[in-house]
Amino acid sequence: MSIDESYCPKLSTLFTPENIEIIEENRNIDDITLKLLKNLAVSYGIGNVSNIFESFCNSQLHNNPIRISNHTLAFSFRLGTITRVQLAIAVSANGIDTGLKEKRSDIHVLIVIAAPKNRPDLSLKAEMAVRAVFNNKAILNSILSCNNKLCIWRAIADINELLPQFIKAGDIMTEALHVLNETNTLFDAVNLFISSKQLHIPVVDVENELIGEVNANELMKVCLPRYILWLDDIKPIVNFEPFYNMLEHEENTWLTEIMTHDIAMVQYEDYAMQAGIAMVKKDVQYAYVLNNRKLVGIITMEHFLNKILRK
Amino acid sequence: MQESNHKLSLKQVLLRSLIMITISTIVGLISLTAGLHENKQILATSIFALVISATLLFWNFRLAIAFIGIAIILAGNVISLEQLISSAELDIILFLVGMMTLIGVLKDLGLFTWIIQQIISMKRMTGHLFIIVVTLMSALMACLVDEVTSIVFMLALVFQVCDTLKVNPTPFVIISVVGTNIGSSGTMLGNPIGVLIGTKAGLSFMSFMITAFPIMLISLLGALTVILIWYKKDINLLTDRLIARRKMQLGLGPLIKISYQKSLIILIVAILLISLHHVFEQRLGIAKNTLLIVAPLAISGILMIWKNERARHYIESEVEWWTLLFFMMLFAVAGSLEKTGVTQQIAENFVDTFGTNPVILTPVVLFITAAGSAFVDNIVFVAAFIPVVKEIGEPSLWWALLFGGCFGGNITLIGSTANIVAIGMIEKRYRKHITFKEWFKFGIVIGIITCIIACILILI
Repeated sequence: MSIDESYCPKLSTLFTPENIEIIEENRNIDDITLKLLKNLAVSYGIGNVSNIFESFCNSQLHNNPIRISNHTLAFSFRLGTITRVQLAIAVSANGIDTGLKEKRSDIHVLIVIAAPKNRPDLSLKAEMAVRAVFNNKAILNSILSCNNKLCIWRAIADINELLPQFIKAGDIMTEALHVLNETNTLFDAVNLFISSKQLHIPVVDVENELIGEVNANELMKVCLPRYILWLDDIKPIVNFEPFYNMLEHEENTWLTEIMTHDIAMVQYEDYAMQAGIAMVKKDVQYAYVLNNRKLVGIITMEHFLNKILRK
Repeated sequence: MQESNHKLSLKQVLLRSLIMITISTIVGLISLTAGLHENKQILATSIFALVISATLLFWNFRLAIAFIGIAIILAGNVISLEQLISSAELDIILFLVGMMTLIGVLKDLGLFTWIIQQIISMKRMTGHLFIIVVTLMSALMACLVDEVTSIVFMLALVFQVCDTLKVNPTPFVIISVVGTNIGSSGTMLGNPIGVLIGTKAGLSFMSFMITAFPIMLISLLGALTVILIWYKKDINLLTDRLIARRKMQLGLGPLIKISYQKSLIILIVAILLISLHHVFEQRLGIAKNTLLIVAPLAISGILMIWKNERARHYIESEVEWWTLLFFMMLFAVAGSLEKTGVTQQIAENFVDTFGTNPVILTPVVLFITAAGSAFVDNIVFVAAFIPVVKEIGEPSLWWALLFGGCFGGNITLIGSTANIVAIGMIEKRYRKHITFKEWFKFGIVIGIITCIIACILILI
């Protein structure tokens, strides 16, 4: 799909009623995925389905479907053989056997998103639009109550959901699981470094506004400043002497001691690409996502690359 | 501008090259009107102008351009290979190699770590006391070691204190650089121009101690007064933060026990040997300043045998070969001016214009050198001026050259090697850029005041 950046197609134009499968018998998720891929192959010629499916089964994606909503899962395929993004949808009123931890009756919709390999934005935009539709319980119920493909397609088309113009930072962020408060001490920070195995932790104030970040690197720099690193003979510090003072006072030392303000930040509404730029500029592996000044999430380099290059 | 040339676009490189070649050509043409008629003289003058413009426009390529300049001078038969070698001032280069090796060993042994610890562990430290200590220590260390070592280790102290107290380091970096540049004029060891002037003028370490050191000290006190007034707000903030930290019983950094005695003894012995070189030379009947050059080399040799496992590191990493090679090339190019009679002609013109009265010549030389050193590496200016001063033969002009070269470095942020090192360090650490204006508005005041003080004291 070679669209102009400002052109936002409707979600319903990415598939036809022919690309919808109503599953009535008991089928597992792999069978349904294969069926949907074959459906797309017949309609749009997406390439050798057996090969696509085989490499899918051997990949990490197989066991990690995209959770669109409580009742909808999706698999995204990046294919070098197509130039347009296409969807195929399977709907089962009885539920789909996912083989995962969900009960069979939990998942009613499975969507296959086939997107050109070199356009990560298209699969992500399609995913965003699908999420907006299938997260709506009323729409999901109306889809499940349909007894033919055209009815389902119309139910989706009537919503007029458009693909977003761009992917926002908020679309690809994850929750910041570990956060320190400005009133915490160095002692708390060290404890959290160790318990969370995370060496950089955001610091927020009482209103959840991001005020900085504490990281283990800063801690090491405080304990091993440059003037100590000049020493060739490290005998004076072999018993960890530079840490003595820090340990002695860690319970009454403010986090500011190891806090840095030189961090990568993006706004929730910024382009997702902005997060990548911020990380490269600051030479860090993560960017904090803010809503004004409030911390709402984090985008790690790993997550960013996975979203853009692989998922 | 002496900023990094890594980021220059092709267009900028072409434009700057054009400017450089134009300057060189114009200087060549002007030299025709200044009484220089021989081809060799015009070529030598043009190449010297080329090297000066290279330090101004292509800081990172200055050595490459100096190499090319030397090649042209040799190929153009301006000077012979023997004359090139004799002009390259190998004695000064060896002295600097010895000093840089010695400093590397002292750093390894923890001398500078110990000094920083002594300062950060001072009881009742206040903002004012910190500034006084930083200024005096920067000057003293520049006197004893060299300006680059001094600034590197003084900024480690400044960053440690500013990081711990969460204050803006910029004013304190500028203060430390100012102290270093002023202090570097106090002895022969402080600045490469000190040893260059000393060897050319036949001045000993003690001559510097008698004349240059007191002038440096008085100028430093003048500068310190300006600093304390100019940066009052930052100093008061520092005091507040220091008091708050003391109340929390927190120090300014980890303190460890270092056996500094060996390194302190080595430094004292080295300084003693260097300072008494003239006495030993007279007793032993050795040529003037021979022991000045030999002392750092001999001490470094002994230290390299003692710390033989680190000897290669000292020579390969602690000695600034890039800078030293540039100096050699620069001295050789400046030497070509002397060998072709250009400097004699300039000296004659200079005397025709300003006369021979030292009361007029001293401020002229001092302020011209200061203004030139503010924009071009001071050693370039001093190397150019030395043959002229030699021809005129007025002793006070050597000191004017020294103080102009050192104090002029404070005027702009590209005025001396210490400034450039400091800017690099602050940019690397804080991703922060000191603007030309930010530096200049303070630098020009300090530069003028210290130059006036030095000028008056030289004439007295």
